[in-house]
Amino acid sequence: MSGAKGRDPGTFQLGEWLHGEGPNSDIAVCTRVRFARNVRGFRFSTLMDGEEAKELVAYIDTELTRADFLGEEYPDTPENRTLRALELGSLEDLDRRLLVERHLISRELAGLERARSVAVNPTESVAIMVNEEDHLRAQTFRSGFRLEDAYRRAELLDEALLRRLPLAFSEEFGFLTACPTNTGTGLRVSVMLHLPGLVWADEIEKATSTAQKIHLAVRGLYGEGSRALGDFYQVSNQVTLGRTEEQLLEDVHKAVERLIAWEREARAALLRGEAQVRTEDRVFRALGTLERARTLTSEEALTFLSAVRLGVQQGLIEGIGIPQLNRALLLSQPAHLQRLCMEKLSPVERDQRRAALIRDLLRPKP
Amino acid sequence: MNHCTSCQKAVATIHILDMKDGNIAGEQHLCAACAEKGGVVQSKTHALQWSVQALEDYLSGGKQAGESGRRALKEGQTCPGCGLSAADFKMRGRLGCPRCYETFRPALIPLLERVHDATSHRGRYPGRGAIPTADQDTLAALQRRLAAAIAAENYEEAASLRDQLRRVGEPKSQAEDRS
Ligand SMILES: [Zn+2]
Ligand SMILES: [Zn+2]
Repeated sequence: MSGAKGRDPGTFQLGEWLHGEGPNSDIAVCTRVRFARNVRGFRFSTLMDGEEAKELVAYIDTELTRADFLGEEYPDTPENRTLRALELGSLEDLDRRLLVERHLISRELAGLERARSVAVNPTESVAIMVNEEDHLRAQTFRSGFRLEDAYRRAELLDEALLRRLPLAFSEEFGFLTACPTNTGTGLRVSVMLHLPGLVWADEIEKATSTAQKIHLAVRGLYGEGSRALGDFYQVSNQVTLGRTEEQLLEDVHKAVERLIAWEREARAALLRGEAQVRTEDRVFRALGTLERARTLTSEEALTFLSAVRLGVQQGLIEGIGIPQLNRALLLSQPAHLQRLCMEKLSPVERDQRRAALIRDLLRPKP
Repeated sequence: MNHCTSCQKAVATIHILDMKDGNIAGEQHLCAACAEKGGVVQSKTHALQWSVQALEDYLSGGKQAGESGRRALKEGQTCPGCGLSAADFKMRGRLGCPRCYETFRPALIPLLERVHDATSHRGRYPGRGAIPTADQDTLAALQRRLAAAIAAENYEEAASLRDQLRRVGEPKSQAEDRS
């Protein structure tokens, strides 16, 4: 984050969720595990007034930013086991939106009036939201489909929290949260999937699965309201109480495995027989647009980048890598674009800069 | 793109399949608005709405609420921990503090049953040191005051608080003592 002012798009750090590595990373972009936790001795965040909120954030941030907070057992370098707290009230609005675009904080946290912060490590694989709906929303991110790894890290993160902070827990209801819908494990496991095959084959509607009666939600990642842009979907558990963490992980695991297999079938079908030429046409039209267009809305950018991504992964397009596309995906969002240009841009200027940025990022490097 | 099976108008972005023994037993395709209304997902913009809906149903004697349940959440009742009243809880759909879980317990049980299909925790259990005890409330308060004193560079108070903390005991040693 500290490198946010860098102007060369090539040096802009990508953050863990966009590394494009890990098992099944052609479909599963990123795995996230989140625990909702509250500190005893304070009212819940949603009932908190100005002074109490300030006191809570100061107290929590002091603990979270201790050297080697995550502890030696945590499988990362000492620098990455130490967190830095950003007090959101002291940031510019643009930087708060930057954090939202980087998936480190929620839109809700960014928009709150009360004192709140986020504690992150340098590679952005750990981010703890402080004073959102709960005192702590502790998250770990791993690129690709790595549930066990992300969970193990979240568990170690939770242990670090328990060492430092008195957390609200009841034997009956588990970890107590402001909303009864999160109580118990306080666990939300989500996997971000890129499913253009299922969308193009018009099968996305049928896609998802869970074990037994457990509900899983699959929702579009980008786009306001009812539209899913760029064919990115997020699969996550809804229930948090009455099942163990292992069971909840297993539910999501099964669902994601199935979706990945389904997506592979859909992609293969799109490149067989009559469908092939239509698919190729769609991919190359998207590439042509990104390489030549003079203005691009963020909606267009997401749509075409999704098609090009599919083309790269299915071996139709050569000379473009997933990291380049991830960079384009991240940097073409409004706050990143403006941070990159170091100025406030009107929507029209933004669309021009976005087109120029993507042209530049996709140009073959000598 | 398919349309929402509930309102038939908006594009469905949330897809829910019920699985039984690896087979699809039922499916729903909803737009974000209908999913929120139905309590399937938590709204991002109206985060409060859906649990309020569940509560409303419950309080007005909807499907899952019995006579006893409705009486359980008395209008005048307030939580001694945070001052939240039953009416506030009903309005916000959020609890005010950990003690609310005890205060509003009779009303919460059917709500949890409806939302989670379960009423008690089966997951991760922190070490003994993290279970609520009276000692730990004192400890938490002391730690908080210490952090505040340090932040305000009030070193004299910080030193005295540190002494008190040492007397009450660090969380770790406290946990060991009890086990
Ligand atoms: Zn609808
Ligand atoms: Zn309370």
